[in-house]
Amino acid sequence: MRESLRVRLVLWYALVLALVVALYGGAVVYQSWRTMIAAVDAELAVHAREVSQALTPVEDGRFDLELPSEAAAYFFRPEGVRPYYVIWSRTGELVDRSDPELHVGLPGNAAEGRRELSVQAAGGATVLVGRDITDLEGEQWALLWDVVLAGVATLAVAIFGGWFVAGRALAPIKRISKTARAMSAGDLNARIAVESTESELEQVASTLNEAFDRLRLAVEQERRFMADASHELRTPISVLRAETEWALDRERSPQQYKDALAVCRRAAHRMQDIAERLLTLVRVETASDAQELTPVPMRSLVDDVVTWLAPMAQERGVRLSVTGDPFIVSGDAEQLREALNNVITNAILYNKPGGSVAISTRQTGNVARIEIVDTGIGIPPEAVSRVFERFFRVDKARSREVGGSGLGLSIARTIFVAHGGDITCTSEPGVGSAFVISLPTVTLPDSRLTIAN
Amino acid sequence: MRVLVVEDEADLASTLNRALGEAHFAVDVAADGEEAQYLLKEVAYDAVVLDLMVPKRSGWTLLQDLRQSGSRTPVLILTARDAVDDRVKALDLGADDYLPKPFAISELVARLRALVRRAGGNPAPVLIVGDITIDRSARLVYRQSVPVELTAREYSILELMVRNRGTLVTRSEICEHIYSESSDVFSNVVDVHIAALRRKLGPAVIHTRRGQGYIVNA
Repeated sequence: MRESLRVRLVLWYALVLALVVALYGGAVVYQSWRTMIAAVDAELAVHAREVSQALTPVEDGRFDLELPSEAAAYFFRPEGVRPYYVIWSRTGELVDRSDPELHVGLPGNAAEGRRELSVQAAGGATVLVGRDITDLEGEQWALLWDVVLAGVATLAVAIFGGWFVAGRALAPIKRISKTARAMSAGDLNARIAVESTESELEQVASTLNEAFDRLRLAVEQERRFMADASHELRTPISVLRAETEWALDRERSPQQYKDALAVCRRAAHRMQDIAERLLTLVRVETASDAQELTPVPMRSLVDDVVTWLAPMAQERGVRLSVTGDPFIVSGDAEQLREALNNVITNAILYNKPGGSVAISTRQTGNVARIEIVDTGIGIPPEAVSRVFERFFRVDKARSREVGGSGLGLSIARTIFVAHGGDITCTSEPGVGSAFVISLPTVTLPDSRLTIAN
Repeated sequence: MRVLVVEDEADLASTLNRALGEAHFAVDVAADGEEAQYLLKEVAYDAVVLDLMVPKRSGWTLLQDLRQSGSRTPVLILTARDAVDDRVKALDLGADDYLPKPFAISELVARLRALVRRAGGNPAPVLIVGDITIDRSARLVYRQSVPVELTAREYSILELMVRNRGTLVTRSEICEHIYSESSDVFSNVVDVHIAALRRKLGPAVIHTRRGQGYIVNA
């Protein structure tokens, strides 16, 4: 992948450079050619004028030609390229020519490798002056070759340099892909060495490193969660295994079998409870993107939960009360119900007979708060910060007594956080605990919902 | 052999109590760390089965305190925490063995027996005193290669005496080793068992130190 990117970069670069060199070289050669032709034309024009001025008509189509010495030196030079002239009369009759052996066509029919110029002279005569330019053309060809060679050399150097530069520029990508490979192979501690944050690629590297950090954190959390979950399941499994082994060890009385089965049933119930809670937690966590958002009238949801929990509270001699304003939250009603249920259930279960759970709702600006204040057993200061951790129980024995899995508050917190809110806890042992839920509210244009709320 | 099971999971503690009882251990159960600490101070156990995650006082602290007080009682850790770090930490704190949950009861029993044998200074499963052979794995006793029928209590007393051969064992020590807290016994029960043992094994094995206790000569 990287090499092909490097090859493509260099190829495109070489193509553009080749075009530039070709255009520039072409322009140089073309300009040089034009200059050469213009110089030849100017020279021919000067001598054509000399010849035509030296030509005097005498009588009935005859002419007298008296060339000045400069012109004679020009046309009759002893060696090198010899220019020529040809003079025709008005009737097209050949009057004179400098080189009798040279075949020259009529004006406008210059042969290959020659440049010619014709002018009208006195008496209707036509004077043609020309010269062989093969030598000058050769010079231009030589120039063209020089330009081509220089262009190719430039291109070669540029491609070589470009290959090197592209390699250096793409080196961070090599580092990044190497680290990403290590990460995907399971080395979660692999990080890209960032050299400077100036270049875009180094910024990409830093961003990726941050992403890797978050990924590792997530994986670690996942691992800890798995360890906790399996640890949690191990206790009921131990009970199940030990009890069945004991029962099967020898012949038992019917009562002993009954007792053993009752123990196994309790263990199975506990495992079921843990499994269901774990599934809820996973569902809440994975659903955060896809959850269905509907306007949820929270006050009536709180009332619903309280009505649902009233028999349990009554059984334990705990008074439930709800006060406060209605407000609306955008979210998943079932999840919010589960979260509220978990928090209020805890407040009832970890309470004293004759105690109370006071729930109040209050909206300030775009944030609503639900306070759940109980007169329960309270939470020791060192445990307050940990009550939302998965599988954390303040008092293991008490928790088992009331059938707690250590996941209720953790689930509640996950749900509130997924709704853009939070839940906090303050507590005084022996006096009670206060859980404060904050949630962002929405205002609806539809007044009916507000009334229903 | 008397063992203390420190386990807060009531169902598991009850199962262990029954299963170890059937394997001829005298079992006490402590549901939390404080109860366990009290019992460890009061009773000389032959072994302790300890869950690390018990309320009020953790298994770690119990183990540390037990070893700091100079106790050599073998401790088997029985816990759902099975990370290598936890095992290393427990063994380094003075635990003698480590069994992760869930476990097989037969393995727990075998490990406890092995711990008790090693603590008695002799890991060999077979003990020989004169013409008496005691197979501690099968809990069988032979006199001149002929099997001797012993009750569970008689066997436990004989095993205790032979393990402590050369030292005097008092009646109350014997009581403590063969009866758990929940049993209601009088010390003359021991005399009855000793008499039965003498009848079955011959008079030369167990000697009486009048007013003090019993001894098996080294």
